[in-house]
Amino acid sequence: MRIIVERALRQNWERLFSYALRLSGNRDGAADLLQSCATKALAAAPPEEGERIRAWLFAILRNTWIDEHRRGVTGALAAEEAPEDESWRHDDRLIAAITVRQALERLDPLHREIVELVDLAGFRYGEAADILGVPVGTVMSRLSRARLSLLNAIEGGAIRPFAARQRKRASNT
Amino acid sequence: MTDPEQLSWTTLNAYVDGELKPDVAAKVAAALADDREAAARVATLTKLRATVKAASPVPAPPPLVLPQARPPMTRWLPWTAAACFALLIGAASLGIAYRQSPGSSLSAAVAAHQSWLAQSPASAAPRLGVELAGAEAGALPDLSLASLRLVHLSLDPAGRGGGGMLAGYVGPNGCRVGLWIAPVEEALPLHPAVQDRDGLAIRAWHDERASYAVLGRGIDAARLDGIAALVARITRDEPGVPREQVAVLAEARSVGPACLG
Repeated sequence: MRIIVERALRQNWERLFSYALRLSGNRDGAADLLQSCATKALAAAPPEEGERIRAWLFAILRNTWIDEHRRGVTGALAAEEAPEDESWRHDDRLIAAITVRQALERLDPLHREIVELVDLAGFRYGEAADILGVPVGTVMSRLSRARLSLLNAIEGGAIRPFAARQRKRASNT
Repeated sequence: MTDPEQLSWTTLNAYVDGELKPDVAAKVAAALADDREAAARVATLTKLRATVKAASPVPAPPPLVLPQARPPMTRWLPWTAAACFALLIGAASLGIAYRQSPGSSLSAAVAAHQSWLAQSPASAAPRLGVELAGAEAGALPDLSLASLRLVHLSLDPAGRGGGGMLAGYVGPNGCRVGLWIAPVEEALPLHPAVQDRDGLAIRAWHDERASYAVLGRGIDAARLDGIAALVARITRDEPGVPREQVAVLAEARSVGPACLG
């Protein structure tokens, strides 16, 4: 059992740290969180289905963080609705590495977390739902809202890719 | 006519992520052919997903240091510890309690700890091992919450009232912390208190069963306080360890300077 968990920890160490960094907001906190996660995982029985071990590790990491830092806050996050469809006004040309990076920094932690799990760690909706302890429908609405926020943050960001800025200037003259 | 939910923002997100059932995905794909704005949203989502991945490099993690499984060599340690502990507690319960100044018991503790420190770190062999059939394993405190692992035991059976025992723990960076357990000495306080001497940081106290001293050389005071509080809690059989106490231990470990011992 320990060998299986050790292997999963080694395979996911980088991504677990990335998630821990998102949760804790600083490297030292993330390192401690990761170590606590590893200790707990090695002391526990992993799920029998091998494909569930990865999500299980992320869930342990998240629960450890909640236990240590955010007890009592999760209830306030329960009520979420799908975003209202609004008129489409986003410009694809603004989506670039620098604008996205800036927008991610400004994203609400709850939204950043779901983006981290689905877009970066590559979890399916069902797996993310298990990790977060919410229904799949909540994952869907939270993710779609997070992406809308991300697009709005990109749109409202001060920095624009050079090419898009040039084009915008040209269209204004 | 298209169902408005069929091309909702949430559905389009699930479509782009490949999370829709095949029949639903096929309907969405067909509807997209007739809806330019929805198709534009899908294009935006696709680009956004790809850019988020590209724009978020994985940060360099700390080295992978997994907690060690108990090495086979030290399998006997809990049994020996239990035996020693039982001997000491037995002596104390028979009423053989010290009535002397705390300095005398701590002298033995200091001597035992310095003797251990004088050994090379690799020398984990006990000076004296005692094994009793039927002894209850795990009688010595498990200090893994303080990242300390039991590696050493030494017994001083010549002292009055049954002598004392030093359990040696080592931290992840090789820092050595001793736990001295001796028969009850009422001159010591009921809660861990500073009793530093002879170049060692010491926290000592007693309860109704035994006296305790936690010793370290050059160890951060806050960390030693945390370890002593943890030992006191465990030896009093108090259930669980409060999260605040765990957090204090973790903070002292990460903030304090490295120990010299």
